[in-house]
Amino acid sequence: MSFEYLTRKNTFIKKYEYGENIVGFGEYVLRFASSCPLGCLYCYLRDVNKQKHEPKIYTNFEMLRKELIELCGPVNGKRNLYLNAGENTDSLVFEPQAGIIKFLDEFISEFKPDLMIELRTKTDNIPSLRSMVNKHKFIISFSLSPQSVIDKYEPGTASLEKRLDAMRECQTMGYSVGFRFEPIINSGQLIKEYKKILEISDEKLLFKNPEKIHSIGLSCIRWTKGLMKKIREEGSVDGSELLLDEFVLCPDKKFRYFRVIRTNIYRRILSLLHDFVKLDNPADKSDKIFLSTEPAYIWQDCGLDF
Amino acid sequence: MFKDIHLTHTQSLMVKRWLEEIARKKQIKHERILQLPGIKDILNDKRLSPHQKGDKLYNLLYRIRYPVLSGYQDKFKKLANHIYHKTGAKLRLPDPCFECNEIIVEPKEKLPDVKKFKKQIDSLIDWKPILK
Ligand code: SF4
Repeated sequence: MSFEYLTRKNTFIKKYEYGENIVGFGEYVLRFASSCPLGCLYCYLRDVNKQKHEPKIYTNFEMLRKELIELCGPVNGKRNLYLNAGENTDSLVFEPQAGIIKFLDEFISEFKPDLMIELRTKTDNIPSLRSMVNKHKFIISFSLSPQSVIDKYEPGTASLEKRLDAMRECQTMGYSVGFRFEPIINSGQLIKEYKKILEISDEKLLFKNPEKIHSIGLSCIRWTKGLMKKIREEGSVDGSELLLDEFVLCPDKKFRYFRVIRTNIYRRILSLLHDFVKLDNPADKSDKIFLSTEPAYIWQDCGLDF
Repeated sequence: MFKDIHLTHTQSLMVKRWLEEIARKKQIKHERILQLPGIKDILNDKRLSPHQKGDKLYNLLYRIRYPVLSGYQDKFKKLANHIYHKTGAKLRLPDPCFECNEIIVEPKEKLPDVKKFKKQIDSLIDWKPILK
């Protein structure tokens, strides 16, 4: 993966802004790269990074170290902190060259902060995770989509099979994993395709140890106005096809499928999940399964507590 | 394409986009859209003024472009009309696309009467809106 090294001028860590009325979890975002080379067609970064450029990795980790100490260090630091390192790029695509994973592991060894870090990926690039010391402090979450969606919209990413294999390997290494069904794209085959993902996951024994499942997140595709405009202007067949569904403007200024469509999708996938994932403790179910960036009323419509 | 039809600037932008999207969705040529049920009738109706034609065409294309959403909007309108005739209260959605969990009831004094219809309101989109 080709990229350049650069010094970050503004902060590495930022509180995540969920947007108006969106159910939030108080997480922080770690921004260690300027963009992502995987090139998903629906990625919001395409709207943010107007100019195409080689991804840059910020390597002034000393500054990051200071920010982390301030945020979650043993003296005045916050408790129970959740840091998402996969919001502005894929967390693992630049490893091991970027060295961010190793840095975070060493920081945890040194300061023992009350901190969980989510590494989110669409790759199967997991070798650098093997030698980590603080595996219990990392959640390795994989964005999962039907292979048909991957083929059409996620050009640089690993296949579904490879992602699921990597996920199982992470569990075997000792990590808890996160299932991220995101972005869910409405299609006639949707339920059949998600059932297939769950069947393959089951075959690969991903549900065998529920304690190795940190969480399961669902989110239908959402758009910024700018990205919709960009896709319309590009005029690609696949992109235009995505926009032909019924999107409406939500309180956080993002466009999502009309409420009835997405609630229906969530309810059906949730019901599938309950068939496959046997979370013994009922409280676990509501704790572990969540909707990502949806308003409270959608959670309610789906019978989920927040 | 549409002579004798008056559309506002925004309407004409939307109509242009919807026509393209409907054509793509239904995999038909633009011209074929003019043959779709209802559209031809509007275009040929001599009793309608250019403004009326424009509004009718805009509304119909919206329905074709957003069949699910407009279907639920119609259902809401129908129920709101029914409740208005029974109680004299007007129901309004703060967001026309249902991206909220409230329904405004006017005048407020009619709230108890409207609450008697709660079951029907809830079953509209299988939600639990707050009547305000
Ligand atoms: S992997 Fe994530 S960050 Fe990278 S292009 Fe795809 S959606 Fe964007």
